[in-house]
Amino acid sequence: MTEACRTASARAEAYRRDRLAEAERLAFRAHLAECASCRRDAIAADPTLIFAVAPPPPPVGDAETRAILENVKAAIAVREADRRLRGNGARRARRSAAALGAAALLALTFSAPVARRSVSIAAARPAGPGGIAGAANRIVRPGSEEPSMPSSATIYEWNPGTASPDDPKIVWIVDRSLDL
Amino acid sequence: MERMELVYSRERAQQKSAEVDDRELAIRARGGDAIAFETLVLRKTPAVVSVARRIIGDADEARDVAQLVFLRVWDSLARYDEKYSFNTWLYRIATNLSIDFLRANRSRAKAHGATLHLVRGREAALEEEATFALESSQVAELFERVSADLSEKQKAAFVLREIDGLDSKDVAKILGCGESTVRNHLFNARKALQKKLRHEFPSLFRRWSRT
Repeated sequence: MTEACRTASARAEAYRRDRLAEAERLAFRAHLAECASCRRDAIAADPTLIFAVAPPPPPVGDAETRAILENVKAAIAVREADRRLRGNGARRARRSAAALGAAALLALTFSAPVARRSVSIAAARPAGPGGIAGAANRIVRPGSEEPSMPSSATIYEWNPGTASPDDPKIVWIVDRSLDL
Repeated sequence: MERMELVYSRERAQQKSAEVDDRELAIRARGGDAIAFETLVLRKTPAVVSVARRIIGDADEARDVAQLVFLRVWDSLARYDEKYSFNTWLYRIATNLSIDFLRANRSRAKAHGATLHLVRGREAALEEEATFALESSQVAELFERVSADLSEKQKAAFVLREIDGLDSKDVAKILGCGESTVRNHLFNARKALQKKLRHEFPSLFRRWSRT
């Protein structure tokens, strides 16, 4: 029994418990690989060591490796083609959705022009004194009392583009007495 | 006469790639270099097939899993962090896919195992054939027989640490757990394998003990 054999024998239990440092572990395995006597003793004590000291399997052949590469390349090519097809489909769908959206926007714009334009506050104009009475009369219910106007009120009215006095108007009253 | 130089040839590109290390090849492949990816596949196929075979226990299925591994590598290259070893990253993918495959096929394997138990003659033959220097294919067959009841993680830990001899830090990274967990998996796997080996192949180990 050599010194290496004694060292290996002393380390066998620690090896089985995975408590050796990496260098010691490698040295233990290397010794078992080359020393038949220690290998026998170690496997008799722990049969699972047969797997640690087994010769490596024959390498995968070149033809087999090439076949795997070709299959991988073919699978990637199929996947890329599929991705491109899906990409084109998605682009087409996005274009169609954009065209439909634009068409819907145009249709809404031309079918309700007044309603759209009425939103603009810039179109409103302050009403004169005559306008005040007219505006106030129109918001007073028939038979009710004449509402009293604060002296400092400014009344705005806006007629969205119609000339007839019977058409509804938008009127708002701002009490300037509250201005700071 | 003007000197002509071949600007690009596939063979030359492959030759250049063959001199580059794994990490650099992975970075190039991530940038779309197909030759770099091919070189990686050619270089790493033996290791991937070997680890998949040990975990799965079947050479043909290991080759199928190896193809899936490289497809996964191709898909995931954008996520490869070059601060880490490419080998560890690749082993992690290979081990995870092998474990997934094993899980998916456990019921089938159990049925297969039941049939095997009926045919005890082959096991007896294995014992008869056994010599002190078992062939690697016989050891692989023996491992496949006795490891069938291990959990997937125990089996993977045993294969990576005990059979492939990887560093425990790497095994922990590959399995996505701590080193102490790897040690536990290894300990439990060893205990289960010892029991099975002694129970199912008694004469094989008596022979060892006698000499």
